[in-house]
Amino acid sequence: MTSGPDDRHDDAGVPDRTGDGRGADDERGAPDMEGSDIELLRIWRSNHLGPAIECRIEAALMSDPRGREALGGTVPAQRLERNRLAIMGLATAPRRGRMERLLVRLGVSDSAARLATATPALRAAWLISTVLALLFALATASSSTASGLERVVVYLTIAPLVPLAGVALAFGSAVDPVHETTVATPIDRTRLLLIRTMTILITSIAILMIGAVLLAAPAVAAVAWLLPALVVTAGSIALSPRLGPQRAATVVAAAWILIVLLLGGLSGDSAAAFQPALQVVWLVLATLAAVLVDRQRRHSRYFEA
Amino acid sequence: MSPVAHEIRTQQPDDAALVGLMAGGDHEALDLLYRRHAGWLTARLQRRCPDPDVVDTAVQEAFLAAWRGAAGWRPTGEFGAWLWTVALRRLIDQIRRQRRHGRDVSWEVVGTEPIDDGEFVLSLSDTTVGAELARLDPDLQAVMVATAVDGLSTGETATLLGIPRGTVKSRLSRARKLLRTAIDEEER
Repeated sequence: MTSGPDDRHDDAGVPDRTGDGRGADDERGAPDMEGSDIELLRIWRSNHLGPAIECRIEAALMSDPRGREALGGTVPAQRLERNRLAIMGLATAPRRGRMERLLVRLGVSDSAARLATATPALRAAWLISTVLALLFALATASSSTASGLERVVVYLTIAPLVPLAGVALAFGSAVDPVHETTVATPIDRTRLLLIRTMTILITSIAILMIGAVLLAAPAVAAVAWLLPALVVTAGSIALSPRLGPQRAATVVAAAWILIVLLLGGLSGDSAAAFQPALQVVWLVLATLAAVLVDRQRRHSRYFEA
Repeated sequence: MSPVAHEIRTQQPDDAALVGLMAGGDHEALDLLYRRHAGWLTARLQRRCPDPDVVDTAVQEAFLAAWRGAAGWRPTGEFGAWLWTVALRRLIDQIRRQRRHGRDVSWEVVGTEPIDDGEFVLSLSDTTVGAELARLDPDLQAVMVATAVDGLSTGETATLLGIPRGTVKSRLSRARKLLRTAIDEEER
């Protein structure tokens, strides 16, 4: 500190740059600080004197600890305690990982970054099992008996189930490492749902794209599973309030496999479910499911905090 | 707890000492700083933004910024002043975010009653500039307070007050002109 203890760097008064106002202020405050604090606070709370005077009062109150306390006394203790718990919770939480720091640097808010990276589905175990499942699918698909087309179809059928499983895990009864933080911080459940679903979708899509490249699939096939993935993910979220996240995911996954097999069997083209005409259907269904989720959000308590 | 840390705590440590302890990962120091500063910070931010959720988020982010940046904090001024600056900018970030969702949570500028009701209130504006500033239209006062006192940029002021940048600039120049005229007359 460069100057005396009474130096106010936060000179939030009128633009009094000359400094001659400070001495007067201190003299006035010294003999009867408590009485003048009460009077200042009363005027400040009346909220009718305009920003300049309010600012001057704030500066006067800020200049001594009792004045600060008086200002703070206008905030309900319960509210301060709630904020304190949230801050202490975040400060004592494990240090931010590399991913979380990257997200924060990219402009994602602290809380969103923490929720996104703490998504249960993103834990190493899930990522490893996803990669293993994909490798298994690739191995099966590339066995000598399978033709090139069949390989691609197996991949396309399994790919949409990856984000689906992730979402089911994220909102299931699985242990949630940030559960306490979520309880202490008032957070919109819809926002939580969106952040986590987006995180899972982005991660899954990245993994699946790599899988498609490894399979040396035709360019179209590399993206043909995208819309079905959106349909099953949004569909399972829409069904969650009725069935619970895990059962909804199971039902949707079964329905998806059944549809692929049925369409393939009926048309004689095993990739029928991924042809352009069907892609339009998936697009419509994905939109419908999104609308359904949005409506449920508004009418059902399920998505409320 | 180290003997030094214990000594600091039992003697009503000043803010700079507490920040030093925070840099070493002392959660209790953060707790003490919060109890000392959260009240006035919340109260003053609330005056500038009517939405309590926005204010609470700004308060939380400011203290977390202090916690995470404790090691790099240089005591060039009071911790309280630093905290205020950080919190006000976080508040503006939050307001910007809310506005993207179509919610208006900008500073509700109210006032002004005649300031010459009693010696006490008049004495608050103890300089010529202060007294003249308090006589301006409240909208002009708000722009002056945000820029000259809180040191915000034109863009930040615009966000805080929920008005276009151009309006901030024109109000600022109008306020300056009125103040200059008033002071010139006073001196004559």
